[in-house]
Amino acid sequence: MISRLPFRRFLLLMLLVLGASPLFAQTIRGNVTDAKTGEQLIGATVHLSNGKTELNTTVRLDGSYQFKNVSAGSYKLQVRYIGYKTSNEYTVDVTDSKPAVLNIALVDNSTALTEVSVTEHASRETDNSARLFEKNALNTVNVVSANSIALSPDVIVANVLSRVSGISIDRSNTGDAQHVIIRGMDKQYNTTLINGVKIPSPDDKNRYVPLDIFPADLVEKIEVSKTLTPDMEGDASGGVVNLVMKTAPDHLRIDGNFGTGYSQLFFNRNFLSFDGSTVASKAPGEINPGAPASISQFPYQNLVTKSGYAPPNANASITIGNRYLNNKLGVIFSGTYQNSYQGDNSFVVVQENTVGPSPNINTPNSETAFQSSYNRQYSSRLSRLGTILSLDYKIDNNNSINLFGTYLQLNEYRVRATETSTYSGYSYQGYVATNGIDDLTETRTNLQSIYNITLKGKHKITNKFSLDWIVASSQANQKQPDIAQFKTTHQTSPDLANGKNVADPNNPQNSVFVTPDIINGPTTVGNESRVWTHNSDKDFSGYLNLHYNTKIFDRETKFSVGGMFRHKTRDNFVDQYTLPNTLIANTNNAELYTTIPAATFTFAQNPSNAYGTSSYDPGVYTFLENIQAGYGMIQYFIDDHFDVLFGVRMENTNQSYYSNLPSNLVGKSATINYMDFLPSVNVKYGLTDNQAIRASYFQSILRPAFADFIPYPQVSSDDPNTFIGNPYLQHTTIDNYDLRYEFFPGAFDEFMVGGFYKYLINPIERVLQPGASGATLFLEPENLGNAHNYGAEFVAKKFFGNIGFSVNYTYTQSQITTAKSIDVINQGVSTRPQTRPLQGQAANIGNVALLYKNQKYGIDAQIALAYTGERIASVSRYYGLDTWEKPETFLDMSAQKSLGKHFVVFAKANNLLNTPYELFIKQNNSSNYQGLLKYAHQESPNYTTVEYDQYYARYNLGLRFKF
Amino acid sequence: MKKLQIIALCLSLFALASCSKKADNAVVSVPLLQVGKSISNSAPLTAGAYKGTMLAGQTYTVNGDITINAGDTLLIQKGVTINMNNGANFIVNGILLSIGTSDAPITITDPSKTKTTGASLVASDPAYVGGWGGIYCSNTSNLVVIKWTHLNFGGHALAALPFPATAGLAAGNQYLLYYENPNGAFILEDSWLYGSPDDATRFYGGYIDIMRNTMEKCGSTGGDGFNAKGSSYGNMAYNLIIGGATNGTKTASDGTTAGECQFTMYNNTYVNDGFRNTGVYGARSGSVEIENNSRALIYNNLIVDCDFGVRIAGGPAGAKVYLADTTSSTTQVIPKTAYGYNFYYVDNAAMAGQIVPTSVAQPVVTHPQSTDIPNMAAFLGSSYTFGLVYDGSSLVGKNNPMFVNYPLPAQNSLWLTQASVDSYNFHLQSGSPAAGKGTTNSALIKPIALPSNLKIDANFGPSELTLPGADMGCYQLSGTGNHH
Repeated sequence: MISRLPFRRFLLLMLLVLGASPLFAQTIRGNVTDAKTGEQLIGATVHLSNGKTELNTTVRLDGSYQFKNVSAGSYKLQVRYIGYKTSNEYTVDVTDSKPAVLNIALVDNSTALTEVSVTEHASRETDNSARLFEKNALNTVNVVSANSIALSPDVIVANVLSRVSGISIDRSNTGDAQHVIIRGMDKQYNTTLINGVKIPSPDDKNRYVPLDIFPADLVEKIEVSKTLTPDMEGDASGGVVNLVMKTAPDHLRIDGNFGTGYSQLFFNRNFLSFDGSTVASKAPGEINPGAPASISQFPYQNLVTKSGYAPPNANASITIGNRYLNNKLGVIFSGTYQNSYQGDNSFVVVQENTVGPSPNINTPNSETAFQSSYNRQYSSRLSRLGTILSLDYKIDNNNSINLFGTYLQLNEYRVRATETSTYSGYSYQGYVATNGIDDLTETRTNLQSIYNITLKGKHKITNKFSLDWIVASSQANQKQPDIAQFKTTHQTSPDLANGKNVADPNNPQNSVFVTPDIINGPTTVGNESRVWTHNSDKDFSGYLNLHYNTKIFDRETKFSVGGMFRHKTRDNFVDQYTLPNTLIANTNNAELYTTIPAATFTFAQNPSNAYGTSSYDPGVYTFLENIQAGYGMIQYFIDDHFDVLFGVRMENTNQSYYSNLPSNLVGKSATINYMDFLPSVNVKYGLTDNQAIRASYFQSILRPAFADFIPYPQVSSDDPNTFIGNPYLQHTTIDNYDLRYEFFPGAFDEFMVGGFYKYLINPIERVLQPGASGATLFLEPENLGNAHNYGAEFVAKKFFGNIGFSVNYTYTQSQITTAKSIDVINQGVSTRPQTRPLQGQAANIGNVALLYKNQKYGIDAQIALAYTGERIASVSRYYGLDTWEKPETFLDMSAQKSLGKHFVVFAKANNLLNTPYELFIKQNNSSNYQGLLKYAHQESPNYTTVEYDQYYARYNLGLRFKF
Repeated sequence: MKKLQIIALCLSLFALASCSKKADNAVVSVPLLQVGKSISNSAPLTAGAYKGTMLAGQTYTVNGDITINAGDTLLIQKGVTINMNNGANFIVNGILLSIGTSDAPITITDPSKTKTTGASLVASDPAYVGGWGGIYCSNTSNLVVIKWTHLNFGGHALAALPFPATAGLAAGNQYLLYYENPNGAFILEDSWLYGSPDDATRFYGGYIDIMRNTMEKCGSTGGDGFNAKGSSYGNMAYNLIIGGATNGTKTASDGTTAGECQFTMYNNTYVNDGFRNTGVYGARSGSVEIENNSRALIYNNLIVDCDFGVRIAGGPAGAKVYLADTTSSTTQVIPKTAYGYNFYYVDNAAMAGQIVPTSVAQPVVTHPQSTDIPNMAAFLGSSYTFGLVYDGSSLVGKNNPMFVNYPLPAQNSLWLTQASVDSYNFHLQSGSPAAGKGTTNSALIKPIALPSNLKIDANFGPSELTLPGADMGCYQLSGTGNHH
């Protein structure tokens, strides 16, 4: 979306004196908005003077300002706001009979780059200053401004996004939101741009970018486009998240913040840490390829953990910008650093491949007994660094260039302490007891980074003809040097002498042995595991857009044509080792555990373990992708109320990969080519000045993830099922229809209601599948026929002076029908079709926010509630046994108070309800919920809880300054 | 009754004596089967595709994986020795025939390793390391026949997948025998398996006939002996399984579309099994395990000093296991799991308390049988419910099966470390309480018949489907059964 990038330079001022009121005339009032986005500029200073009197007021929460009891006369009025160009001085005449109304739209400190499009917009914005960007945009867009971000309880971009209508999120084990699900379309259907340029992902398997790497401080605004026009890349069916980074101001600007915070979790328990400097950066197999490793190449130091209080979080950011050379050269630097301590407590039941048999095809199977569960405590130190540097140079009024660079880094140092319970058949205190308990300590260093350099130009060749271009180079890296896991085991047995047999209340033919106490065996050392991974993804891309404005039948018409290319190269590396434990001399019993440094390991009886997996690991691959695209589109203004934008985009995809699979297997390498023609139509019809109807149709695609192709079973410690790629995977094409009605009854009140319908051809879902000879199940990406996804969205905002109320709600219904297994006793496995929602899609998503602003005391406060309804977390191979995520309600709060002109103190609190992340299976759970063999964390006889994670609240306190 | 027997004996002696024309005992040579061209042993065989015949009595050196392509056959004639280096495997996409004889068995081994006798410890015994790889058969392999063959020191970790993953194989696996073709057959007769680090076998599909073999030292600190999963079905009979880490014979249906896992297990002798699995799953190891809704007929087995008796368990979806035990289907090869006439000897109270396994480890649905020795139905009484914990100490040392040469009661926890036959002899002495107490009632137990495309054959099928014998265990006093 090149033409609509927010690089604006000109101050665009709109002044409108709205009509006559017969009442008293001692009032001057109006609205102050952003010229481009139409967003209210709360807190802007309005200065009124007539030589004798000087009055100041600030813009209230509803975007309006007011001077009461002003005596008649002629006044000068000027508006100032941080980040925006100071307005011209306007003359306002106050008479006794009329209140004076002056609405002003300020232009932000952006560069000169979008001069052309500002002019374009200006020509249409003649009669109403209160238009929102959302109202004017050609497509369906939601915008979150820097101000809203600063005011919101969020410190990273992904959490901010969860407040946008139709967006739900998924979280990493630090509790941070990581990916967005837009209107029921899971994360792979959405793309992330920085300043309009798509960026590569540090994820080792997928294309989608983990949004927790972006600190909110660097971002000027976030635009979420839910529909596509032909000049946008066609692989976003849910939406495009465009992060618009800060741009150079028109005068010296220094602002920033620093603060601290703490997680409630670490008031409740200790924080675990390890010394990251002892981590071996390279795998033995990388240092000496092909040679066996020795035990000494796996140092124990990084497995030694320390338990204690978490230090307080610290964060600081600074932004410095100015303009030089007659305002032609703009420079801005922004840097932010966050160091935080996060984590969660997690309970996970390990789901098995097999289920209890069903008496007949009409009765779903059930997963009623489990073999093991994990209790995990995650402790992560996250260190986030973000910097941007942007230079813009305005050559003349018609030509400008911009050089932008960013570097983002997220380093995580994580300790995962796991207690694995292997379940038995006897009972202790009413719960199913264990045969043994493993204690595992995993330390992991995850170093992610993204850099991007973008050079852009905008040129107005004639009044009618303009062009813009972008050349960008980006790279994303992830390194996980030495994911190390140490394990100890002890057996647990019942007290046979003092326990007793009791009839099982759930199963009267069975005895349950009830023990009064558990007898622990000696704790022994288990096998140790060590894994090294790294991957990089490099993009080189170029974009060119040509615009021609003319008139056809005396109506304004804009022609655009353009094209882009992207050359992507991706490398993945994995090397995994298992270090066998040693046995006590003259026995077959494992070494007794004393300390981690004292534990010994040997390759003597398992010489092949000394060779890592990299020689055959499917995680070792290179992937190449070339995309060429071209488009043509026309925007035609049929009349003052009615305009249409239509066109078509062509995208050509050439992909190839080369993996470390053995050469005797199918799919060691592949080349994949396809071409798509993606039509798009956007229509807007204005019913009145403040009401409009929009309709759009566009076609989009989904390209499979990189690792989805490689047909090799891949075992990961994070997933109990073996993943296997599918080189025959087809890309998905999606037909998207949107209809929306919007109404802007007051200056900043808004009401929108809309519907959407998406038809997915060949959607890709991950399915548990038996291999050709049965037995073992593989998690395989597959094209599963076609799917529907439709829904309705509703947004309302209403402001009552200093109190604002905003609500949005999205209902989404998606449908896909696939064959599911039923394991019938005496018959084996047959299939039966099951209709279900798409993975990750919640039927109900809503946000409610209450805002308060008190000018007098300089106080702002916000309470925000985000609700996500139940959704499928993973699809089961068996009928009716999908794993669902429970509905979640998050309550967050923030408040700030200004201290003088330059300082604001702020406080933020997240997840005040300590909302758990809970997964469950909809099945009869009575035997796990009651009786003598209960499982932990069961809440109901009607569903089985298989995961229960808690993140606890987080608190932040800080000081913002601006000069 | 006794009188009748004496009369019958007299009559038959008379008949023998009166029959003067007795046939001469002549052993006539039959031509050795040869397939395709012979394979030369003048140089070590390198990794590659092979077909044809390895010639009788020759010694071959193999330095890389031997692949048999789909449609090809590799025949190993009697008396061949194959020395496998570099962890090499047989990768069978076609047909493999290893046809040894009792006089000239075949040996496939890792020449760098030698067998040890006496106490066996995981840390020092080369049996548990995995010298050469295994025989890995893909789902295009229609037939594998292994007769009178020593398979020593197998189980080297697979460096990479030998063929696309279709059932239960992954790089790093350490099986000795792997077979997955639901439409094929795998015959292992009169052979010896010595040493493996993990499960000695994994069968995921096909007709599987495992008869009259000896298995020693299989599984290091984990791993089952003859382990069948998926939709495989067939017989495991007359095998001697000594010193296995976990279970001797095991079946589990792991939810396949090709059908359920079904086996007969009869007249096997299990000695000292289930003691090297020191992890938490050691709580589930012993002699026979039937889990995950698989079906089995388990009769006439002799189970001596094993951690557990015959265990009908539920696997992970345990709560519904009761269904698997009580329902039956006449359309299945085995309509319903059934067992009895099994003989137990134990040397301590812990083992005695698990002759009928308790549910301490995992829910079980094992019915005590009145036909077992000792009579567990009588011992546990009518109030028994599944999984009951009981005191079996009065059974310790009872019913010594009277092996020809093996010290019972065993001293110094011999069952923990004696994992090979060595110079012991597990034939029964006449007068053994296990002799003649088994069942030969074909309504209860008979071998699962060959599929229609397979015949009793010297080369292309089993030599004999030995019927159940009245003497419990694998050695019949008559000399039939296990010939080792």
